[in-house]
Amino acid sequence: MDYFLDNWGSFVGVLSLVITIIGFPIAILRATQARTASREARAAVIRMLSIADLQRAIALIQRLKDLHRDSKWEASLEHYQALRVMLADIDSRLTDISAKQRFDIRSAIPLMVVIENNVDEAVRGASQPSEASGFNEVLNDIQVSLENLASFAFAGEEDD
Amino acid sequence: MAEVTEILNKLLERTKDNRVVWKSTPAPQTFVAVIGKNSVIIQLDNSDQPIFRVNNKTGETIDSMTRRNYPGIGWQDQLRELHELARRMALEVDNELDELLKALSE
Repeated sequence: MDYFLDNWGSFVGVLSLVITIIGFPIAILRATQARTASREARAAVIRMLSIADLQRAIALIQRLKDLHRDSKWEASLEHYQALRVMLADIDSRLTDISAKQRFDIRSAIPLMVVIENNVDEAVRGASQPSEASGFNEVLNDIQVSLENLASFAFAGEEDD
Repeated sequence: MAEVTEILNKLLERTKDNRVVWKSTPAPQTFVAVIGKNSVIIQLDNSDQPIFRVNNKTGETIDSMTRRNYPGIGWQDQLRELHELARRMALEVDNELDELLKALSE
């Protein structure tokens, strides 16, 4: 007992060391778990935002197809840029998609530019775009790619 | 600082090596390719003059080459060469011709 009283400081030191040795890995484990949970939550939010973006882009494509069908060229000019920006946002937000899916989104952007330039020239020349019949075919292809992408992103959302 | 002419040279080189995927578009004589996040467009205008555009990730044109800003015959020839290569690739001209030849040989 005297020995303990004389050396109580050393006992406390050893005990602290033991607690530290046990506690440190637990703290690391908890921090890692918290970081993983935060990363997963962030990925889920990004995926949800992307699904909303995809749905907005699909709706805008449908609107453009209707405007093209009704030859409302001037009105359609207001939407191409917005669609291009949406597609670029979707491209940067969706990180876990295949190379083909990414290629489809990125290819859609210059195709929209070509349609936009063609419509713009026609509106300025007060004429009809020369290749109007092909515009909706291109938009259909883009729409199908986005719908597939939305199903893919939604499936990932359900898995979480 | 990178120049648009460097982009053209590099693109021509990579296209000759079949390392660029060119796509046809609904506009006549107009072809597009995606390079990373950016894209390029090569087209012939109504007077059959080549126009080369470099777009950023949202499709805004950030630089271009036309007869007006690059009037040299050398540049015009390179643009025409790129246009022809892009057309052949986008329309799969070589495959189509091979198939045609095969059908004619049967």
